Amino acid sequence: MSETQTIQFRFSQEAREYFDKIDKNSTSGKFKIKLQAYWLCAQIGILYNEKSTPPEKKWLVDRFAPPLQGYEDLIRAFAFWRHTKTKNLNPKKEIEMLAALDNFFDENARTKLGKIGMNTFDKHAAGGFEIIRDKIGEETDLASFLLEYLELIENAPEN
Amino acid sequence: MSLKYSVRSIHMINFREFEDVKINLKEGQNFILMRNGYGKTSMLDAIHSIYTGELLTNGIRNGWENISAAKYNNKFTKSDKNFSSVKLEIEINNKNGEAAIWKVWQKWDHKKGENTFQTEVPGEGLEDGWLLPRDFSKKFGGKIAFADLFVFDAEKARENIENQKGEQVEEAFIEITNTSRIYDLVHHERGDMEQLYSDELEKRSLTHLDTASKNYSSWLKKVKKQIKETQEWKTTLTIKINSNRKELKKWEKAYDALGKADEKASKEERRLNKKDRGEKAKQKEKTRELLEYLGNPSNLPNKQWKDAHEIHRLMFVLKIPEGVGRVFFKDLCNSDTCVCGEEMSSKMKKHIEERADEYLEDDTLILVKKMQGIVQENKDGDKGIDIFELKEEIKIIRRNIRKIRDDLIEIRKKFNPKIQEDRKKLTVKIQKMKEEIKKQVEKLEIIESTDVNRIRALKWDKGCLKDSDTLFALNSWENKVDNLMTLERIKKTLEKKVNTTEDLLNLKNGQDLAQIILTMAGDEVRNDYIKIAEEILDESFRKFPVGEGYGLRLNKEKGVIFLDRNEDEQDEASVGMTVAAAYSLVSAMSEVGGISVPLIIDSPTTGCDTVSTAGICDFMWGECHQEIFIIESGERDKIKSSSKILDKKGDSEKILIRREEEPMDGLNPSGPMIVQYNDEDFFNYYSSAWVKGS
Repeated sequence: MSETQTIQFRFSQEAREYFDKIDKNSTSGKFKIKLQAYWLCAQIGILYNEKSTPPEKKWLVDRFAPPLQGYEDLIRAFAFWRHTKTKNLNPKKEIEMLAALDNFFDENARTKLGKIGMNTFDKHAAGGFEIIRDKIGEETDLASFLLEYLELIENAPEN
Repeated sequence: MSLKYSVRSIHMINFREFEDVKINLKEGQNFILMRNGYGKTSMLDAIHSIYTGELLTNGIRNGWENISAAKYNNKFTKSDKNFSSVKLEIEINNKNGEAAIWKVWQKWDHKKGENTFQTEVPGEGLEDGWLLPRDFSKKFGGKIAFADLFVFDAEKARENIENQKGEQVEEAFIEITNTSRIYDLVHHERGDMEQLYSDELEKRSLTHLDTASKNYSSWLKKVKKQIKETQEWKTTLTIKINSNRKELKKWEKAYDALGKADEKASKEERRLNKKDRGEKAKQKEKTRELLEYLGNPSNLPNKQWKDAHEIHRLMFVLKIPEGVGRVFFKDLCNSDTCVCGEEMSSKMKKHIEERADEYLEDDTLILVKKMQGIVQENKDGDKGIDIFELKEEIKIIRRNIRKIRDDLIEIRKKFNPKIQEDRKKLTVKIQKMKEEIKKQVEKLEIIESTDVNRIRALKWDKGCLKDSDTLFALNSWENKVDNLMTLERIKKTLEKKVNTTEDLLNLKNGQDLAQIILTMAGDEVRNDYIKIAEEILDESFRKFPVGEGYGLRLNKEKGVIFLDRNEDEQDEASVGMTVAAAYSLVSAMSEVGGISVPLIIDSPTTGCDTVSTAGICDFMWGECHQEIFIIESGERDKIKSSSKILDKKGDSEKILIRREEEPMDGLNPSGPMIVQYNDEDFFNYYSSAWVKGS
């Protein structure tokens, strides 16, 4: 059993400022919590299998708060899938998969993620943000941003 | 007389030359005769020490640091020399004039190296410490200069008079008049009042009160001014906001009125504005929905989620992980039978033991199983949700909004040009006014807010105050804090500081004043006493034949000074005059101090010729209720030839202390020290009649 984890998701200053601009200027709505923006970035990072170096500190939050709380198992499952793909793990090999599950998850952490799981999330969030910044560019309205975001989803590679 | 006492006995054991000697004393005159070198000075020192409660080994008098090196005469005593003691029996009258005997011991335990006092308190028994009654201890306790007046060596007293130690006389007056506490408070650098003041400073973390107080007061003045200005500004701003709002309402009315001028267009404009608001609300709702659905990865239309679902499904089918975790397998190792009922062989156990750690901990297992279950239920995302359908809906709404905006532009073109121009102007004015009001309201909120968390989060307090309200960054505050609540808190903090320092300033001023008053009072009391003492001193001195025509005065610097017939100060005085002056001083002090105490003098007529000796014996002796004179045979003879005082049979106790065997030539005395109370031995001792062994 691993020790109780207190680490939090990390989100770069640049990414925070990017989404703050939307929150401040949008007339079509705002993010409820910053973790929503973090997840949108991580989701793109997972879809595009893109990773980047997360900031050293810049802690965000140590759990999946509402409205993401209802989806946290699915979110972790999706990230784990990408992890098995990246590590080229065979889902039929029990020992291999058990070790991966043991390392990726941690019931005692508030995020339910082990060190590897947290790192996977932070790296994909950093990588995903770079894609968003480069492909969507500066956007100050939430609805416009999400429409562009959906384009990114549509154009994501197949594997 | 507030204090009257007599010494009833002195008992010395293993004390310097005395192996075990007890001397009983009477009221009136007591002459103790002993040879030089037999311990006259030691006896005097012991009495002085018991009077003042200052242990001899405290080194107050020279030569007493190491009493264990006491010169016992080993030849003559079988006493236990592990200890020494001097006991004084003192009869002390209480306020009602009732007498009681107090016994005080000074003891030395030579093994332990301890020197202590013990007191037998009448009716209460023996107790540790120097516990003589309050009246006594008030006069003598720790008051060496005062005790010196009544227990002294005439030789030393004469030297004191000749050396004219003004300080000692001054000190004795302070002690005798009980003003010593006042002088302690006033003059001693670490007196109680000074201590109190510096303790208070320390308690309040202040080092320089004057500077701190000045600063706090000046800051308080500034913050009060700033509060006043901010309150005025708040009033001005409120008035301004109200007036601007009125103005804005007027312009908006004017704007509407312009619209009414072209009713058809105006109606259309209102309809379009309403439609615009509706579409925008719809857009907000759909955007919120989209953002929420994007939180669920199973809503993704991509192949990736299908892959993710498939992997988790596969693992579920393959029972990865198993339905049981690490704990189950570890428990199994300790069991004799397998879950299937088969007996567990050691091989099986070893195999399971080796693999047990590869399984998940139970809590992680539950987490993964739950996750797999949820993934199974969400193959196609939230039921009926298609994020791309939502995307299309939002696109349509946005198209509608654009269309409405274009329609509005068109409809506004339909107003007549004059009205269009006026509306344009008014629109700019209204917009500007709205911005101005917004800024003013924001500013007013900064001034008025009382929400501590908001003030701190938005840094409206400029970090001036910490949670405790005790610290503040002055620079930040002077950099202009606008929030009234923060300013009030700074003010409160400063007021607390100012009150603190004002208290201390008052305390200091009070102390300074008290010192002046006390000094004046002390000086006045002392001067009164000195004046009285001087009169008694002078009168007493003039009674002596040697003092006739002369006078005595007390001088702060020089002590006792002699005046001639012309009241001129004399540089020198005869031995007789100085001894007479010493006696006169004692007499004056005793009178002024309101006490009747025994006079104990070693070598009382030292250095005096027969005329002076006669004067001392006839005019001075007998003045006190008890007098103890320690003399040697030469002085006895001088007194006898100068005065009749020793011839008065029965009027005085004559005590001889000597060795049991003392040859006529005075060499090699032997035997223990003995005490004799008869006139014959007293007068014969080392006289022409002295014979060996008598």
